[in-house]
This record gives sequence, C-alpha cells and structure tokens, in this order.
Amino acid sequence: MELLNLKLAFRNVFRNRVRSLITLAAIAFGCISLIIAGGFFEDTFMQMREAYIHGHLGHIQVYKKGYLEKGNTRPFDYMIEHPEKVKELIASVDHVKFITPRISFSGLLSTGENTISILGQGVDPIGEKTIGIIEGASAGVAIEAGENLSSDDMYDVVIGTGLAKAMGSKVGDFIILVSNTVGGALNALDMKVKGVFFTASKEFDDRALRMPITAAQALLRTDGVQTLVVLLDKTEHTDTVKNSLMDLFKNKNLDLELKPWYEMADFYNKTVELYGRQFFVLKLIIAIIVVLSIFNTINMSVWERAREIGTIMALGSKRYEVLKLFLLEGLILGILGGLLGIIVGTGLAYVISFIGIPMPPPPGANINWVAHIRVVPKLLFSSFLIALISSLLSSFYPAFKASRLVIADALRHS
Amino acid sequence: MDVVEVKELTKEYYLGKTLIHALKGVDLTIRDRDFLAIAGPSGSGKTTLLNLIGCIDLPTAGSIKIDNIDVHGLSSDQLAELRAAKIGFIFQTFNLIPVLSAFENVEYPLLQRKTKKDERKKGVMNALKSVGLETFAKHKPDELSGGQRQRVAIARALVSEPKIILADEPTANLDHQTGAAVLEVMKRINEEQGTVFIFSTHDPKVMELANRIVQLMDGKIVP
Repeated sequence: MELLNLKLAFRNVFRNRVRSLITLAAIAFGCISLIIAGGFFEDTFMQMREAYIHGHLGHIQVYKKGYLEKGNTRPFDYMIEHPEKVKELIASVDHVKFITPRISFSGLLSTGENTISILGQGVDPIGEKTIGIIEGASAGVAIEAGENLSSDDMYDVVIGTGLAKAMGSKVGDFIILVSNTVGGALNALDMKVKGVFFTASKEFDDRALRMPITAAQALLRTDGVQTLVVLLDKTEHTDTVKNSLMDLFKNKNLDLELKPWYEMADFYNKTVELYGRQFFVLKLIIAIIVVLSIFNTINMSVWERAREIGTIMALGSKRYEVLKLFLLEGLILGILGGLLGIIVGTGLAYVISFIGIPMPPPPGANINWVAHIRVVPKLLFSSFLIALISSLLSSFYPAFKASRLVIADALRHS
Repeated sequence: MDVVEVKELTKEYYLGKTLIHALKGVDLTIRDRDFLAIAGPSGSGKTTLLNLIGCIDLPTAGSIKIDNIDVHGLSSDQLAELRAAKIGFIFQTFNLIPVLSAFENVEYPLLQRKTKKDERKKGVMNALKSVGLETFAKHKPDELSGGQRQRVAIARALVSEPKIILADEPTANLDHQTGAAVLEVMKRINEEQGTVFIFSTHDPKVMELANRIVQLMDGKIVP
C-alpha cells in the first residue's frame, strides 16, 4: 500500500505538468534566493572576519594575567617576561601556525607643527607580515604609500591613513614620538615615516602607528612584551586551541590569560547579528512564497480530484490514508523543488563568484572589496529543509480537507 | 439469507435552504444471490438509497444491517473496513483512477486489504479475465473505451470478492449495445459467483434482467 501511495502521489504530482512545473519553479526560486543571499552573507562574514584576524587581531592574543581587566589603565604593569619561552610553549600546541609579539602604548606624535595623541604598536615586521597573509588573498594591513616595515628597520614607522591625513605627514617625513617609559619617565624618539597603511578598521587607521618592537622597547625602556598574537592554521580551530592553551597555562602554572578574536571583534559580531536578522526575515518571506504556491497547487488538486477521493474512500481507504496521500504529494513537490533549487542555486553561485560582486567599503572601513557567494553545506541543508517544511505545512490544510470530505458528496462532485 | 436489511430508513438534507426528504421510511431486505434493480424516476431517492446501503452516507433515521452488522454508530474507519471487506462499487461515470493502469486500478482494493503479491496478481488477472479485459491490463483508463472502462470498474468491484456490489446507473453513460454487454457480465458473475448486485436504473430493458425490482417514488417504495 505504501508503495502504491508513493506511486500514486508521484503520478498525481505530474498529472498537471504545467502547474506542477510552475510550483517546482517557485520552490526552486525560493531555494536559489536563499542560497545566493545566504552565500553572500556567508562570504561577507568570512571576509570581514579574516580581515579583522589578519589585519591586527590574530586568532588569539595571550597576555599576562590581569591585563584584560586593568591593562588599559596600567599597561606596563602586565608585561610578559621571557616571551621567547612562552612562545615556544604555545608553538607546541596543535594548529598553532605562528606567534608574534606586540607591545602597545599611547603617546604623542609631533611633526613640529602638529601634535596628536596616538596608539602605538611595537611589532615584529616579519611576524606581522606572516599574520597579514590570508590564504591566497591580500594582506590584512595594506600599504597605501611607501613601504611596510622590514626586519632591518629600527627608527622607521608606518602610520594609518587617517593619522597621516590628520598629521599632514607623508612618506619620508621625520616625526617625533613621545611616550612614558615603563618606569614613568618621558622618552622621545626621532622616527621616519616609511609607509602609510590601512586596514579593515577605519578607527584603527585614524590613530595607529606601527614601529619595530625593538624600537618600541627602547622607547619604553623594557625587554618585555604585552601581547603574543597567535595565528592558527584555520579560524575554525580557534576554540580548540583556546581550550588547549588554557589547559596548558593551568597545568604549567603560568600567570597568563588569553582572548580569542571573536571577543575582540565587536563590529564583526554586531554585523553578523544584524545580517543574521535580515536573513531570517528573508527566509520567512521565501517560506511564505513556497507555502502559498504549494497550498494553491494542492488545494486546486483536491477540488479537481474530489470524485476520485470519494472513489478511493468508497473502496475502503481510511481518512488518514487520504491525508497521507496529499501530504506525500506536497512532500514530493518540496523534495523535487528543493533539489532543483540546490542544483541551480549552487551553479549560479559559482558563476556569480567567478565574476565577483564589487562592493564599497563597509561602515568603519576604507577598503573596496569583492564579494562572492560562499556555498557551505549548512546553507544548502537549511534551504532544502525550508523547502521541505514549507511544502509539508502548506499541503496539510488541503490534505486535511480532502480527508474530511463526505464520500457521497465527493462522488457527486463534477 | 438476508445480506442487507434496511428498516424505516429516512434521509433528509438541505439543498441551499430547502430541506429535501430524499427517503421517507424505506424498508427493504436483500437476499443472497439477488440481482436487484432499484427503479424510479430522477429524484426518487435511488442514489441516496444506494449510498446509504454502501455506507458512504449516513441516514437521518432508521437502521441498516450489512451481512448482519448494524452500521449504526460505527466510526469512519470501521465503515471503511466494512466497505473494503463486503461491498464493491460500480459508478455511472466509471471513476477509475486516471493515473493507474487497468491492472493497478483493479489491484487497489486488494492492496487495501494487504493481500500478498502473488495472490494479488492472480486475483487481478482473474477479475480482468472474467470481464474479458486480460489483454488490456497495462492500459490506462484514457486508452480504453467507455464499455471497457466500466468493465475494469466491474473487475475492481469484483476482485476482493465482496458480498454485495452496488452499481449506480452502471449503463447510463454507455450506448445500448455496450450497456447490454456490461449487464451481461454482471448477470454472469451473479449467477456463477453468487455475488449480490444492487443497481439503480430507469431503463426498462435493464430492469428486465433483474430477478427483483424495487420501485421508488418520492423517497418511498411503491408496492
């Protein structure tokens, strides 16, 4: 009986071919829209996330315990002593690709005419270059003018685009950098602007200055570092490595703490939340379109086949069997439309990705970028599931109505 | 032996705002091997009576016993089981399922009864043979003539070996010659297998074949 029901449902679906094809097209269109829109969001999230990670956050940052709570007010009280030893330990953890030290400080930058407060970063030029490389894509920190720092630089700096504009500085200019040393005294260095950079974060570019860590340590009169930036082989491994590192610090009794990238990328998190809500509304609209189109098809089918329903019930079919038959028809439409949508949607996503969608800079950033449609299994699965659930939901009422027909009335139906 | 026992059967329903008294206290007993014609003009209550005996409509009052089972108070599922076990239907408009072949249409009631595959195949082919359509098993209804369709419908009604086959104006949509051939098949099955046939008609030539005629007029049996 089950096989006959399936056979019957399948043949019934294709009884009115034009109507069924239109319904399948509506379901497939819904799936395609979800795949394209979802794939666009997915790609945006991924690019934004990687830009933040490779721009300056890294996957995980390691600090001396207490830095996260009080580091803002007393940054030099929380320096990691013997950073090389800690680096060695962290490097022994699976999925860790690279570690680079940083030291941050606030100070004043002066050209003689202008003086501006800045956020200084002492970095290892080779380490930052390694962090900045995204699989096959451009570096997170991009140079707009001049050159980036290199390993043999000492008294060279690169400054953010916003800062360069505010200072009226250009490549080759000499500037004076003033900061408090770790001990509290004032110190100043003459530095040369080697390059102007920009990242995905405009806020960072408006205030940031980067210099070789050795020069920063000389300015601050210290051998320590505040931050060890850890880069992993894949962003997906962040939580695994985070847990391993926490265990490691605990087992070795190290006075260290850490923060993963997602706890630092506030703008990214808010963007994901906003886009996520927009996508939910889109899903809802598409589900409604699918529900209405299948409802219409099955409802018309019930009216057209009333006499047939009466006949099979007269022959001994029970009400739930009639209900099952029409639900099965809705399900078949959902499965076929969903599969069609996945195939066409994936194909279309690849074509669009091949061409690329030129995008303006996102809020708070100043880089144009090219969006793609990123098709991930989760997205295909959720699109298919929406097609399937909407199909079942929409066929339920007409199916129920069919199963409640009075046989004698249904047989009289013309 | 009584196969159908109908007592004081009344059926009323609304057509728009008008109350129709379709049956007004019908008493009828149908015995084993009957080949019974329910005759009467349009609107006399023939179809209503057949629907009530076939358990596809509910009476306003009165009782119906099918093979000694009182149908009053049975649930819709129990009525479906009763129909599947004891009653076959032949409709004026044939009512074959258009997406199924002749074989599959005849097979449908057996699938309902969960008959085994081998028995099913044998039963379907026997039923098709008894109506002379064994070579048309794979044909879809729209590939068959009106007479052939009605014969497939007879095979479908016959295949589960029901006690009673109800036929509502089975020849009304057929030309005279085809109608006569269909009636002949019904009569032969009645004689050979003892299946009770209850059919409605207003054609005097059809009535001639019946061994009992019940005349209905304005919802009442006319003596």
